[in-house]
Amino acid sequence: MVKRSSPQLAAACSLMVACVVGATVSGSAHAELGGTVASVESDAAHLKGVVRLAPAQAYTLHEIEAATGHIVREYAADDGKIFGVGWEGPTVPDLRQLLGEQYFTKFQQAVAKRQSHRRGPVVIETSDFVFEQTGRLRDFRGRAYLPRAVPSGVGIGMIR
Amino acid sequence: MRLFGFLVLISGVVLGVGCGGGGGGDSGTTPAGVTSVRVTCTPATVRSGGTSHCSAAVAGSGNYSTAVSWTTSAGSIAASGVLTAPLVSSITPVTVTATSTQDGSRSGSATVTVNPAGSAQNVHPIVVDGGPPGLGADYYVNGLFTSVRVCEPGSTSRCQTIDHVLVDTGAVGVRMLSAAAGGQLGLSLPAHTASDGNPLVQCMQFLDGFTWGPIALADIYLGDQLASSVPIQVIAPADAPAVPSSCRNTGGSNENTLSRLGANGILGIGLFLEDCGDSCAQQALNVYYSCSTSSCVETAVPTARQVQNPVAMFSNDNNGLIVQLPSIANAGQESVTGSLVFGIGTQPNNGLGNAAVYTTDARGNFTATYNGASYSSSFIDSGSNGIFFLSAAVTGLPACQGIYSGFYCPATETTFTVTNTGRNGVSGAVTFSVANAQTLIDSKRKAFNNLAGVLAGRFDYGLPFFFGRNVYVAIEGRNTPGGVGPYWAY
Repeated sequence: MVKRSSPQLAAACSLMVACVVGATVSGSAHAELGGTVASVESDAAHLKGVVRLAPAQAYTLHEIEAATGHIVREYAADDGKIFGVGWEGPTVPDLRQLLGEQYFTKFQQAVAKRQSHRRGPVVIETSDFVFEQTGRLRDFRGRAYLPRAVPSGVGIGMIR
Repeated sequence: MRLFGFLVLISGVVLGVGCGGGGGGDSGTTPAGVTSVRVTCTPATVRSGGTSHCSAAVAGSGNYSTAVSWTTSAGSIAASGVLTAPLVSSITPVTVTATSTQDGSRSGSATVTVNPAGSAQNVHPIVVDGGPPGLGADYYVNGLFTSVRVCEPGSTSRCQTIDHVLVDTGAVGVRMLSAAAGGQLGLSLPAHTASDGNPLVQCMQFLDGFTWGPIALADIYLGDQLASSVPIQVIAPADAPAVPSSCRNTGGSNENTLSRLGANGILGIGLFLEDCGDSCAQQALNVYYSCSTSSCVETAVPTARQVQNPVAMFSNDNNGLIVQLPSIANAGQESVTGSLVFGIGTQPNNGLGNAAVYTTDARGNFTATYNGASYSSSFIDSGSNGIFFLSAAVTGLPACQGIYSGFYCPATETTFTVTNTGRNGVSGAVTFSVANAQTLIDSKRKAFNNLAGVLAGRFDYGLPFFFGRNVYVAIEGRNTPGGVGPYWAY
């Protein structure tokens, strides 16, 4: 029921070079923006998800589809560094895990500084960190990225 | 205006009955036996042919019987006290009397007002006024509020009318801030349990925060409409368990005070029957928790036990509702009043008229198209302060800075025309304007039809969209003259 047909996923699979099912837990590896691709396995284990790889020009998309109905996309530059994450699903995922402690804290601080009683999308844009989240229970979507770490030639529009 | 007078009348009846109980009947020389009979009927106002549940409180001294016999001045009444109102063509008061079977000289009565079919029993006032007075200078911009009467299940006396509850078509279910946390809810409501018998506690997620607290059962009145034994969330009662990390890690603030929540509660009356739906029924997600005395663990909850849409639980007028708000000045207003009208096509006052029906997908989304680009996950949400759409780069509008960031701050008010298309293929253009959010907010007014902000990838039609419109919210799976919900119509 929560699984749905996904044209985007089908497209990703046609590109993939590897399909990792039930990614292994990689000990102390901890996911975070700015971290390495090892963190993808940590996230996949956390989400009990299936990882698919979709290499593209200048980056590789690691897409984790969890049985919970969540889809998490992590974007790794060719040096293995994660420069963007995207998520969608029925609930807000563990953002501390996805963003890492440093950017999770930035997100919380930025939300606290906004005008009182804001209800609506959360959009935080700073020179080194961008966070966007919209939706409501049953349908949350968001993305976060590090503008300075996005490989040249890669449009931020593809981070979703 | 008529409605306000009406509400006063009802509370007058209830208060009158309640006050009569204090004395306990005759004093002094009363011998053993029944001293008084008090009658309460809920609801105190019904539609022609409708039903009201009446109960009798019998007081006495020594050995006495609490048995009563029921009579009514019109319609019929069962031995159990259930009144079936007469069919009437004008407003008719009906007197219900309970007489002690032990002492026929002791009786009590209550009046039930019977309204003709088609009269506006399904209308409930709403207001945009800055929110609870307790917020002070930290008032709420573009917040839509109403009053909700909450009762312990089955009781008509252990009740509270809670004002400034946020009306949110983007969420489902009733949530009330506990008195302990600075809200008003102080009733002792029966706890709802998880499948393992432990208390069921919820992490309700919003975009920039969450509410944490147990699920309890309550009778919810919106005007005369009653939803019985509704699972609701009690936010931050004194004995709430600690917030689990999987809830806290959704990232926003814990909305556990009046100043953080900005309201005494939230009335979620969106498109769905319950708040989370199948996802939370089939999986243990970070929304529902079974909390033992030592820890809280995520748990799956059948849809019927999740927090419910109270409108869907009304006995009538339960297929949806209309949010009615008038047009307002572009400069903003200090306050705006409007109505919730329950039911779609169930009464003379809630027909679809000329409104077009835009069906949604299973998540409540439809498509908005602007300048040839389509955004297929767009939605309508009275709980959003503004209309959120596109980006500064696409709209050409400058973004605001500082505490206003996320809103648009154009030098001159700018108009946009967008085409909305339902999943049923019905299309229509909507036009709205965007003014400088900083100027608007700094004016200290409370209601704006032109407050807007950025949102890449989808349109979020917040409260400004509702001004000057009748917006119909059709509940999933329910039949209406416009087809089966979920859909929006306007």
